[in-house]
Amino acid sequence: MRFMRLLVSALALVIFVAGLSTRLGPLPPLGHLLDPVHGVWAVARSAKPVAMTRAAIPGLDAEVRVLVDRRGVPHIFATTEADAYRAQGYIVARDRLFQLELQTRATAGRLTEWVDSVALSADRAMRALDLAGYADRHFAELDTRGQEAQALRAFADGVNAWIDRMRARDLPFEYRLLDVRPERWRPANTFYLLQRMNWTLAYGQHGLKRQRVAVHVGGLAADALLSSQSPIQEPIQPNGQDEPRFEVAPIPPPIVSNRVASITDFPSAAPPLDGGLGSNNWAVAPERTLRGHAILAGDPHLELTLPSIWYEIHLVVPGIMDVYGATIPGAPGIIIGFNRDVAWSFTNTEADVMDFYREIVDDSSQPRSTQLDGEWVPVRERVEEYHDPRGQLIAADTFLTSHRGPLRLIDGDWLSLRWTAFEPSHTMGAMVEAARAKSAPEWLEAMERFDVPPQNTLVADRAGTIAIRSTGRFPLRPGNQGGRIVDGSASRNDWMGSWPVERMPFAVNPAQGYLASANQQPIDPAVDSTYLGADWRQPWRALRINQLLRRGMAWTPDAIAELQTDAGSARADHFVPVFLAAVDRLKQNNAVDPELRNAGRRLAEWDRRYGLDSERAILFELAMDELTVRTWDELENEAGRRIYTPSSAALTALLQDSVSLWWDDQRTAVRETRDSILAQSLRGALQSATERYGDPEEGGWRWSRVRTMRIYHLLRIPALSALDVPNEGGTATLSPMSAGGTHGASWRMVVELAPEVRGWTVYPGGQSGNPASAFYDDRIPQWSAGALEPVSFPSAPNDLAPDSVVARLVITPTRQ
Amino acid sequence: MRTLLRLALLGTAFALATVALGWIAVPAVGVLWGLVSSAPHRPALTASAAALLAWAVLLTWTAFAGRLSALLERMGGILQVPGIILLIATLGLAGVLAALGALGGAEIRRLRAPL
Repeated sequence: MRFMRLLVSALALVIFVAGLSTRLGPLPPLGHLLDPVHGVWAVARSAKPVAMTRAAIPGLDAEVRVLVDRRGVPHIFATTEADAYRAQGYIVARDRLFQLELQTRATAGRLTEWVDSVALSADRAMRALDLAGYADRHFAELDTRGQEAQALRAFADGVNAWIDRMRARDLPFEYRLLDVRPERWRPANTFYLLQRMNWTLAYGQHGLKRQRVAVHVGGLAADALLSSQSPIQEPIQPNGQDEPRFEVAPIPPPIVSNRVASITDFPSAAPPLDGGLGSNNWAVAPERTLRGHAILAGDPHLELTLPSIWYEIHLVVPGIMDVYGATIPGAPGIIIGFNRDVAWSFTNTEADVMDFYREIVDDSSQPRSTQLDGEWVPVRERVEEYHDPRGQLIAADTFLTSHRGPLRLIDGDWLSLRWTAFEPSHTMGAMVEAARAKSAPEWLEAMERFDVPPQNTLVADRAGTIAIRSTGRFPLRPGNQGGRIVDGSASRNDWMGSWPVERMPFAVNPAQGYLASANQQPIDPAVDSTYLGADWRQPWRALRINQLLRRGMAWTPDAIAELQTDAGSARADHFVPVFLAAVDRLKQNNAVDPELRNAGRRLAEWDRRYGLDSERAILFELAMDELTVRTWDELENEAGRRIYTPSSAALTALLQDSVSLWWDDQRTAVRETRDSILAQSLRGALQSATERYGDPEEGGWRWSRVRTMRIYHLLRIPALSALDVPNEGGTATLSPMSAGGTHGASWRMVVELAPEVRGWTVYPGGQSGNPASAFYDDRIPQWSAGALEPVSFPSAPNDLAPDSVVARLVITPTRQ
Repeated sequence: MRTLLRLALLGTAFALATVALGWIAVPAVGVLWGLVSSAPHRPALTASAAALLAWAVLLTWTAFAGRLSALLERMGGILQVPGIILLIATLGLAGVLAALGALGGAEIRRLRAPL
C-alpha cells in the first residue's frame, strides 16, 4: 500500500513535469515559459533601459561610448569606423535581435524550422529564387580587405558579441514564444537583407505579366496596358514643363481568347499595391525657402510592422563620419539620413531589371542542358530540403538553374530568369562611402556604385545644391525591347550591359527650384525613350507633390513636414469629375435613377481630401474598386480571378474612349459604355457603403472609422500589433494607405541644410523590439498625428544634455 | 512563530533554487522538503505555500526592476485572458510543483520509516 502511494505521487510529479516540458500545440513548454526568473517574465526586466552598463566586444580598437537619448536613439561615439559598426551591430542586436534573424530566415527560406509547414509556401518561393545562395556568393566575391567587407564583418562581430554576452533575461520575447534560440550572425546575412529588398522592390516580372495579358486579350492591348510610357508625364528629371502632360494613347480592344492563362508566378511575388508601396522624396532649393537653406524630405512607403523595418541611430567617428538617420536592422551604417553637410533619401525607381528567357531544353520533362548559339549549356540542379522545428524533413524540392538564373516550367515553357539581383552588388559599399560625403557631388559620386535595387537618389547639401539621379543597374536590351519573354537560345538576345551613370535620369539645381520623385516614370520619353521599365502605376503622388511645391516660394521645415501628410489627392481630383460628368450626361438623357442621383450628389459634396473626419472618401474609394472590377472583367480567368489589374493610370487612358469594347461587361447581355459603367460603379459604391457602414448621415462613413492602418507584429500576433491606427491619407495621397492598411509611410524625415544641420523624424513604431518596452510603439501616436520630432545631433558625448540621456553604455575591447 | 520561520527559510530555498536552476528546481526542493520535514502533517501544504511565496517575491522584484504590467497586458492579449490570470497561473504552478515534490518526498520518507 505504501509503495502504491509512492508510485502514485511519483507518477503524478513526473507527468506534471513532463507536461510542463512539452510544447502544447502552438504554446511553448509552460514550465520554462512561466519561470519567474528565466521565463517570459524576465522580458519585463530587460524592457527597462539601464542607466549605466559596460560591455566588451572582441577585436574592438578602442573604447566606444553609446548614449541613448529620450527617444531611444543611440548615439555611438567611436574612434574608428569599424568600431562604430561593431557597436552598431551590438546595439541593433540588443534592440532587434529577433527581427535580424527573422528577416534572414525569411530570405533563406528557413521559416519552417521555426513555425513548421505554415511557412512552407513562403520558404519555397525564396528557395526557388535561391536568394540566399546568391547572397552567399556575392559576399564570397567581395574584396576581403575592402571597406564593404570590413564593415559587414565589424557589424557581425558586434551582433555576435551581444548574442554571446546575452543573459537569460535578454532573450527576446518571440524566441520564448517559439521556443527557439538565436543563431550566430554571419557577415553575409547583410546581403540576405539586400536580396529581400530586391524581392520587395524590384521583382516586377513584367515579361511574364505581359505574356499572360497578351494571351488573354491580345498583344496590342497588352502593350498598351503595360506600356513603357506613362500616360501622365510629370517626370523626376524635369522636362521644362510647368504642368503635367497627359499623353493618352488609345487602348486597343481586347481580343478575348479561349486559352486560360495560368497564374503561376515565378515564383510568387507580392501583389502590386497601388496604394501603399512606394515612396516620396523632394528637396527645395535655398531660393524657395524662407531662411535660404535647402530643405530635403523623404518618406519611404513599405509594409508597416512592429518592430518597424527602420531603426534610428547616430554614428560618430571624429574626422571621418558623423551620420544620423534610419538604418535597416542588419545593415551597417545609415540608409536614409544626413551628416553635417549632406542629407539624402530614396524612392524606388520601379525599373524593369529582370527578363525571362524561353529556353530550348534537351529534355522537356527533365532538362539537363539548355541551348545557346547551337551549343548545349549544362543546367545546375539544386535540392532544397525543408525541416520542421524538430529537425524532421517535411518537404524537398529540386530546382534548376540555367546559365542565366533559375529555370522553371511556366505555362508549358521552360523559362529562365535573369535579374540584376543575381549579379554581385556594391550597394552596401556605396552607402557606407556616401555617408562620409561633404557635398552633394561627392555623395553622388560615391553612389555611382549603388546598383540594386534601383533607387531615385535625392541629395541636398549645405552649399544649397539639390540633385537627383535614378541610380542602379539598368539593363541595356537589344532593340530597346523590354517587358517581353525573350528567345533564350541566342546570346544576341542577352543584355548588352547596363546604363552608364551619365545616361541615368538626373537633375541638379533645376530652374524650377525643387526636385521630387514618387515612383513615377523618371524621364520623359520625349527626352529619352530608352526602355527603363513598364506599367508605371503611380503618377498621382508625383502630380500632387509637384502641384504643391510649385505654389510655394518660402518653404520652412514645418511647412514641408505638413506636406508629408497632405490629405489631398491628385487621383481623386482626376476621377471625381469623371464620375460626376458621367452622371450629368446621363441626367441629360433622363437616364438617372434616384439612387444614382443620390450617389452623385454625395460624391460632389466631397472636398477630395482624406481627412480623418471625411465622410465621403470611402464612397470614392468603393466607386474606384467597383470601376476596376467592372472594367477589367476581360482579364479574369475561368476561376474568376483577375490575372492582372491595370493601374488607374491605364484607366485614365481608357476613359478617353467612351465606347471601347473594354467597357462592355461580358457577364451581362447588354453592351455597356463608359458612362453606364461609371454610373453602375458609383451606384454600387453607394449600396456597398450603406450596407457596410450604415446611413451616410450617421457618422459611420468617417474615414478614421472605415480605413485605418494595421501595423502587425512580425509574427502577426494581434496583441503585439497596433491595429486601427488613424492615418490622414488614402490610396495615392502623400501619406498613402494600402487597402488593407498594412502599407504606408514607414519613415518620415525632414532636414534643413542650414549652417547647423537640423533634422526631424518619426516612424510608426519604436526603437525596441521588446513588446514590454516603453520604446516598442511609442512613436505611433506622433506618426498618426503627422507630427515629426526634432532629433538630437550631438558632435560629442558632452553635447547631449545629461537629462536627455536615458542610458549609457561603455564598450571596451576584450582580448581574443 | 516556528511555522513562519520554517516558511521563510523554505521560501528562500525555493527562490534561490529557481534563480540558480530555474523552475525545474522547485519540485526537487519540494522532494527534499518532504524527505527532511520534521513536520508530521501536511509537508505538501507548507512546501506549496513557501514556493508560492518565493515566486511571488521574484515577480515583485521583476515588477520593480522592469515593466511587468506592460508585459502582462501583452501576454494577456496573446492568450486572450486578463493578465492577472497569468500571474495567478504562474504562482499556482509553483505551488503545485512544490506540493507534488513534497508529497513524493514524504512518501519516500514513510517508506523508509519502520512499520
